[in-house]
Amino acid sequence: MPLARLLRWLQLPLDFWMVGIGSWFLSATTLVTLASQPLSLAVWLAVPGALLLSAVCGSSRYLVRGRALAPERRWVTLGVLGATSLVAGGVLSAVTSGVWLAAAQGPDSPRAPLVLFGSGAFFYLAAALYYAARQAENAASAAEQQSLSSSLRTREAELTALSAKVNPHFLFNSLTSIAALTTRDPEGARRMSLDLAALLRDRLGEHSEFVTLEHELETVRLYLGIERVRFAERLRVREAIQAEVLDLPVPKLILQPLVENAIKHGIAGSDDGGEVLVSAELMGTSLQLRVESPLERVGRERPAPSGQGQRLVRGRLEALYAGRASCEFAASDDRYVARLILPTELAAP
Amino acid sequence: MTSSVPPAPPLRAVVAEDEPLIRELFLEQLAELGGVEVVATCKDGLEAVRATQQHAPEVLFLDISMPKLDGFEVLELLEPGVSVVFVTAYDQHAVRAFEAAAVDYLLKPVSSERLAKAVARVRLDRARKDVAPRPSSDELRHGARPEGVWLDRLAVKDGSEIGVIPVRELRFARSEDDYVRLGANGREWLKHQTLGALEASLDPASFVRIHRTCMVNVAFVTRIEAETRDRFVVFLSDGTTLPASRPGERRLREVLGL
Repeated sequence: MPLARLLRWLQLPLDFWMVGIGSWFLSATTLVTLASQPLSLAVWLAVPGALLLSAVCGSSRYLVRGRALAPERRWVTLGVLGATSLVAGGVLSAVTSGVWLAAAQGPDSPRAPLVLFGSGAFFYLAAALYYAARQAENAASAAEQQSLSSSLRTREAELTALSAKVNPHFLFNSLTSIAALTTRDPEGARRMSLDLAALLRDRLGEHSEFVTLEHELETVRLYLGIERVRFAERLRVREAIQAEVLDLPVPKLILQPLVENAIKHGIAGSDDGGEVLVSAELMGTSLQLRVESPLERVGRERPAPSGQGQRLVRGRLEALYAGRASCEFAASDDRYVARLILPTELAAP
Repeated sequence: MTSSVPPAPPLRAVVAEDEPLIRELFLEQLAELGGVEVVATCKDGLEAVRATQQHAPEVLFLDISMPKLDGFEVLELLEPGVSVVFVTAYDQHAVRAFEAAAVDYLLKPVSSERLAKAVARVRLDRARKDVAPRPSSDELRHGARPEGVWLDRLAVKDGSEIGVIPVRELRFARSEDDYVRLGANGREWLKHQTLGALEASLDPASFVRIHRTCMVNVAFVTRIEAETRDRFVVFLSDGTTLPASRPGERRLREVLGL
């Protein structure tokens, strides 16, 4: 709206102009109808009143500030506003009548000061209530924003905790594998228990929201390394990582549900197993992460992963990036692909 | 002098476990314990069913999560006569079910003492003349499956042939004495199960009991015709016709939204 832009350019609040023009128009009309002044004169006579009225009404904004219409204080606030609006009406009436008197112009009807007083008080009260309502609305929307962002944070924390949860099946099977290795491959048993300890320490520790991709990949390698001992030749792992993306920030454990799904559905359920591919590359200004796995779906109604891992990843991306990241899960004949697209910067520019 | 009590003959066992390391550990522990002769080891559920058929062992040590067929599906396909010991890493839903259906269940990693106890239990089980009938695998599955989760495939066996029917391809199931006849993909399978138990494990939004002896997959229904006031005929897309009772027909219409 060009008018609004013009007024903003004049560096005065829109309210001021609306009240000013409105009261000017009303005063002029009052003068014409009540005091039978000619229109041309009324237009000029209304100017001082209008200026004063808009200034007085505008000032109500400062009175209302910090005085929200909270239920327990509502009557006090209304009382204060009522009293000040009477004062405002009185001041308006006195000053305007004085100006008219001094200029020896204006209506000499005895009702004029009364009309001035009434309309001044009314305008003041209306303006004050308007400001009070707007302030209450602002406060409410700020509170809502606050609670929304805090509930998003809570949700994020819950989802991270879920991602960090160690699958008991994995844990007990790994311990059993270590027990098996102790006699036939003591060196392997030592390595695997150290790896398992590192993995548990990582999962049980504090969870920062973001880590570098390099750190995230280390975590994934630790996990896949342990699974490789369990599944032997059934699990082959390939990585395709661009060197320049290693320092980019990613949500901690964001890949974990994806590689767990890859093992659970692509490797554990299949006799021959197959290859799990983890890739990371820059795509324009976005980071693309992919986890690909074989798809075993013989006789399975739902070909692919439990929705839980997907929901976890989707929920975290939504909570952390608010629509600036996306994920995609697709099944072809024999491969399952999970793809994440993350912005390379944490905050919007 | 030799002992006058002859040693008990070894227990003939089949071990089914898909993770090689864990399998080897288990075999090692059985060997240490003694008195158990492992006649076959299997790395998936299909092999487990075949080996049990072929070797008729006294005990089957059965892992739950395995490729091809899981432990429950294996159990469904076994002939009675073998004592089953479940071996699992962690299965919160299933543990209670094991107690009813198997001689014993072991949690991985298994200690040698616990394994010895399980073997002793199997011997006791075998020594009993009146072998208690094994609770049906349906009961087991029912206990093991969380509320509101339906089967997505059925393991079936025809002689030595073992198959898996995706539930979405199952057209109908009819009861025949102690069996159900399953129609899927242009062929039929007989399965030792009651229709009621099957019904309880299938999604009621897809499968409707249209008759005391008959259940249908609504996805394949093409039309319904009234034969008499109380008897209806349901036609499937492959030409199969099924009988429906009056309440059955009403249930079917309800699910179909007619």
